[in-house]
Amino acid sequence: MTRRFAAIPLLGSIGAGRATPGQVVLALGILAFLVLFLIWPVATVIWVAFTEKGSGAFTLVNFYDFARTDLFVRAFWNSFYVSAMAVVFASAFALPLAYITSRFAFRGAAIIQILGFLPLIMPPFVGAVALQLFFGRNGSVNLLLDDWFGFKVPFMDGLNGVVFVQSIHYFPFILINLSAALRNIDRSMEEAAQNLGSSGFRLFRRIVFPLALPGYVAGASLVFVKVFDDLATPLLLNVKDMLAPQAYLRVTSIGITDPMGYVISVVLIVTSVAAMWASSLATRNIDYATVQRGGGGIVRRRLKPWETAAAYAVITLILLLVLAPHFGLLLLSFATIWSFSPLPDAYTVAHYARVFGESSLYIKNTLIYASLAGLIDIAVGTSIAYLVLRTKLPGRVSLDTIATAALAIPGIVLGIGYLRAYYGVQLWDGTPIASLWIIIVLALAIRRLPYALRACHAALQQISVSLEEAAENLGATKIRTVRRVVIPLMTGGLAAGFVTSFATAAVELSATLMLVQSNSDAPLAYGLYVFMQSPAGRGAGAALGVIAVVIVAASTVFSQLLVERDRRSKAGQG
Amino acid sequence: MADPVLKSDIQLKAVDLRIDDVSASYGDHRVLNHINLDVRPGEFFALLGPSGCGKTTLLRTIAGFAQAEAGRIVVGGSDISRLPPWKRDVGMVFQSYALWPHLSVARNVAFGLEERRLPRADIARRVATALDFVGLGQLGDRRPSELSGGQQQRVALARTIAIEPKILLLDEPLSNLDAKLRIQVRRELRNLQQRLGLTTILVTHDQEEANTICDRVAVMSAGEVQQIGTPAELYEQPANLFVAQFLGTANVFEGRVVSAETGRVFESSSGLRFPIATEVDVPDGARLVFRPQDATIVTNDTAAAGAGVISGRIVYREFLGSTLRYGIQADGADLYVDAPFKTGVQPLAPGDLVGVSIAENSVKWLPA
Amino acid sequence: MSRRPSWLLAAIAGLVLPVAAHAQAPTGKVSIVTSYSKDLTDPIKKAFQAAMPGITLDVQNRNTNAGVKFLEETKANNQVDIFWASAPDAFEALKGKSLLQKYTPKATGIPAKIGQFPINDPDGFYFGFAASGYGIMWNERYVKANKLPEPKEWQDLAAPAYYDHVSMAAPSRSGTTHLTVETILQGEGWDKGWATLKAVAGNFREVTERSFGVPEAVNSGQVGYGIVIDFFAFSSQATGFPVKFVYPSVTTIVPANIAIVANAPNKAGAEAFIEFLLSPAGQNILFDPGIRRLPVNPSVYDKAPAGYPNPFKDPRLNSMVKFDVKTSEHRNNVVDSLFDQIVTFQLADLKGATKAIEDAETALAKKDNAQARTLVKDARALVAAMPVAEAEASATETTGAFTGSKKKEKGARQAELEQKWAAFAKEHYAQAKAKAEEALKLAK
Repeated sequence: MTRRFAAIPLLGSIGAGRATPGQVVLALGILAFLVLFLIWPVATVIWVAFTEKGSGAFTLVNFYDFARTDLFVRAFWNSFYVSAMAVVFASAFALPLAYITSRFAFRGAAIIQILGFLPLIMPPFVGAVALQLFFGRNGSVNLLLDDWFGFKVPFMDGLNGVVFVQSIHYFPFILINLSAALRNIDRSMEEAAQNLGSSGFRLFRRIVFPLALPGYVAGASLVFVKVFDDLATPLLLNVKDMLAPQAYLRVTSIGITDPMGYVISVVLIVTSVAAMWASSLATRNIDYATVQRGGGGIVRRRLKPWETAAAYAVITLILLLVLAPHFGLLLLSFATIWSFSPLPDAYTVAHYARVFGESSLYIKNTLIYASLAGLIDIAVGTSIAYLVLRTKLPGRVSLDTIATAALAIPGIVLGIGYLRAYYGVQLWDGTPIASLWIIIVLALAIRRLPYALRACHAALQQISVSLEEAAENLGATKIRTVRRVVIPLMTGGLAAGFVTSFATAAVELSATLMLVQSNSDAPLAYGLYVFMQSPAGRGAGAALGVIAVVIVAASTVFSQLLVERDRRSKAGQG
Repeated sequence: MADPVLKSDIQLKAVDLRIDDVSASYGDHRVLNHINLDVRPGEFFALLGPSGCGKTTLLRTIAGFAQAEAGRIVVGGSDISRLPPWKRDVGMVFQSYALWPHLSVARNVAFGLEERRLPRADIARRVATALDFVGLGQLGDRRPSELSGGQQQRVALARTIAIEPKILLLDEPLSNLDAKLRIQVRRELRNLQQRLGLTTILVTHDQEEANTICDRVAVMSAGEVQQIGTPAELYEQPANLFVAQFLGTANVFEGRVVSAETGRVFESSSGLRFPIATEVDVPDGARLVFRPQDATIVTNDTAAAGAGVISGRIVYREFLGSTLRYGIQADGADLYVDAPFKTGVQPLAPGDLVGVSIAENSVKWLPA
Repeated sequence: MSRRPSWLLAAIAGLVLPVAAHAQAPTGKVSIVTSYSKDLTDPIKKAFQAAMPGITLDVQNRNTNAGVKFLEETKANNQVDIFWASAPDAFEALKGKSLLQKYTPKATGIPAKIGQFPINDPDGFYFGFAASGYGIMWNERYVKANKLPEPKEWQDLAAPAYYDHVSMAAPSRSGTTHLTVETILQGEGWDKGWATLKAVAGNFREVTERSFGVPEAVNSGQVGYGIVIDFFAFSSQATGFPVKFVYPSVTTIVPANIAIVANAPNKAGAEAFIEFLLSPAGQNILFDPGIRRLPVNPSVYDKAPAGYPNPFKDPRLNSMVKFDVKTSEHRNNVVDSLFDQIVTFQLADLKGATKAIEDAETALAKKDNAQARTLVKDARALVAAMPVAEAEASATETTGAFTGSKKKEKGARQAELEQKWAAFAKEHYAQAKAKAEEALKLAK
């Protein structure tokens, strides 16, 4: 599951080759899709930032106000600080895991990688609630610390709490990218260094890590952007002087006409794009992994018994920490009452009974929405990757750039944009288009498109053009070549892209919260949100969260197995 | 015998290398089976064999990247087989050169010296010397990706000799170069090795490469050393069928010695008869081997076929430049015969009937 | 399937007949936007659908403000039949924007007033179906472990013992909390009310973004005390959490409301639902442990669980503040924004000043010092000082900055006002802290 966002080409080169009508139609279709469901809705929201309140005339005074308002300036720097620190801590979690599992012959490396992916699929709300129960001011850890040693550690207080939760939540982005980069390093690179007298940590610091740097930077910039744009976690921890929460609070509370929320959204988008652009600049000239010849990845060293013990200890510690929300969620889902005590008072399965009775609809909706979003993503992703890598269509790289830019759009902005853009548009019977559930699917698809696009891009890049040329040489048309040769060869990569979209879409709330128009169309994350608004719903919400995690994790593992099998069968033929 | 370019900055010493009964396996698969080798100080020594023969594994075992289950590797009298790769002082040039793209050429060369914590000034001097030695003194600030393939290889070599290795290992050094460059570089390589005076092991699957630049060659197959010798020895006196066939083209016939009117002849299983020189003692079950250039097309008139001449029909013709190679079918057996190509002389064509004679003294016998 | 107490089933069964007889035609889907959780809506929905098999309810959960906004954003093509929430001023706002329609409920036995508050909108646009009061809930285990007192009045929460132990939702985010703030402002007057609010806020642990964030934090024991609407505490108790609740004397019992949205696609269905909710069957469901609202029909209290508060009988609940919905609605945005700018977003500074004052007062209690007393008094005054007077807060220039009327305004922009208020608060809190620290030095 290689995801790189390191390279964001800004302009498509104008190719000399002639584009076929089919390619032009495909490109126009994708452009229409992106304009309709990304550019236009976002533009309707952003436009408010440039208008005068009341009159609606064009103005830049709102940005002047932004810069003059202490709260917003403070919020900006707080967001910056939290994002940067989250990158630091996420790296601290991801580095040892990636290093140990990819550098040493290690039992359970695959399981560790899967467990490392789990934090990404923590549904909103419940994760922070569960973490509070463990690490909050009166959570299990602090109650015990206070009891035994008479002090408490403010894990969850203020900005540091946000850093703590965010680095747990998003560190898999670094883990995944860094592991892939480490695996792609030609083993002779490392052996050459050993041959010249380097070993151990010096070898890692001087050769291995610099070579994996592009992967690391790609992951780190993603963490930065995600943390910068995330509003749910700070809000749940009652931290409001950050940028994304300010945008959300503005946009959803004080009058729809207030432009400041939209001004903040613009600042969010600009900062995210700038961060991604900076990271791509920083690694532009050092993306080595792809230019190296085979050689079969990094050398896995065997560990001595005490080293194995130490490695397992480090891994266990990190996994316990990053999976704490999941443990907490599991406990909560079986707890009767859990209040001001290290562990729940008693246990019950009643919450599951309630959830199964009431929420099968949410589960069904989620599966449908997330699957459809995943399918749309790999269809669009493959098409864009094909146009970029295999054609000389002018402007093809812009399609890639636009689709990738969806990363920088906060979910709330997209949600409001959809309402604005499509509520006035009606079907023949007067139903607003925005109230159809397919709109939720489209929002999810757009939100997850960048991930799937990278996976499809990588998958297509690995297929030698000569395989396609061979098919064309034997009389297959372009379309038939794609269908009979390219798609079957891309299966693994497509499955990876699908899973990434599916897994993260299944627990997405920020865009859906605005778009759910009817309870019968609501996905699981929304149901969870509704449950978590009442005292009696806490356990049930947790149970629903556990079910969500299990479903998503199971489908991830399942498709991972498919990918593995596919890879093995291809290796066998090769 | 310090090289004028190396001066006293890089001091290299020729030492011997002894591979002592080394065995290694991947799982159940034996990749090295009781290997014994003695490489003399300053010798340019080749490990030659087809892919999968174990030559690269042997090289990696010397460097410490593959583990031997049994046996010893002794360099200059000290056993290095228990040392990790970074303590062996065995310089290796990788097939892919393995230049680190994030470091400049000079930093690549300096790497091993930095690992040895040499003083800065010493490092700078040695890096400059090593780059001068390979003729890249001006390119220290470049990135590896800005160099040509040949230049990259020389950087890899400079990087290796900068640490004053005891021996030098070259893993398929010419395989990433195009044909023209390959001939030029292999001469350079030989020249550099002579100037360095370092004991050098080269791994290759290309017999021409081994023959042209190495003092001695070990031919390997299936995890075992088949024969060790100078290129000429191997060519003239192959120890077994594998060596005979791997080094150049050979006509090989199984059969037995029978008595005929003209004396003893070797009758192949397909029925061809070859005369045997009187003084030769043919071991029981031995096979007859001769090289295509040792046979001569004596006539294109089948009627003239007589004693010691095999008649057959040309089935194909290969143009090799200075020679023409004919494939001839004779009584159900195939043989290859070379004839010089001379401008203006009409070559024979497929379908022509010919007689072939083989000089008695150019026939070799391989024991069963 | 969740289990309902049998008395509830009996009550529903007893009323199926009359309701069914009354309902002649209404069928189809009734779409409801509500701020209420599933705990409240699900039992009522189930009972209603059992009583009126032809109608399906579609319940969409949004918080009050988001719900109001949603109706505004989608009014051109309205698909919603009913708006159902607590805060009366949200209904005032909707009424003012002509987003509701008139109706006269047929249900009988419901008095005109609960406490000082008319149950139904005098103009007939929205109707009370239940009552709620505001108060303080606390976690008993937390209070016991930290050896903290049990509060009775808002002012109690301003005592030093409560420092860092109290939580409240932001009024801009929670319609019910907004009412609590308005209740205090109307009950104690603008200046004194804000002084109380800020004195209490100085002891806040946090200001949450959702109403439910407060009971959630109290229930799990992350904070000790929460300022909440009563039913959060009652339903938490019913779920089994170790929490207690008290109504302070400056509070008001206000109806929780329901209204038919203008241009409702299914008006008949909407009416049927309102009638059901106001009928004894509907009213009885409010006693459900997960709901715990106060019914507006006095007769159903006979069936209430033991110890259930009865606003029609309890003299304490009857003598409470008269709540002026019009005033509240008019300055709604200003009060919310003021609170955010001088409390929510300045909480760290406010707490710093409060802590310093409380430390100085504690020191003075041991060793008095007249000069230090004056300093502390000044510091308290600095904290209490308001950037806007009551009249200014309700002036059109100020309120207009928040609504963004079509015509060009003379007054400052919203962002300018907010920056001004925030800077005022920050400045005053810093001065207060400095004075209190000076006082502490003198008192030592």
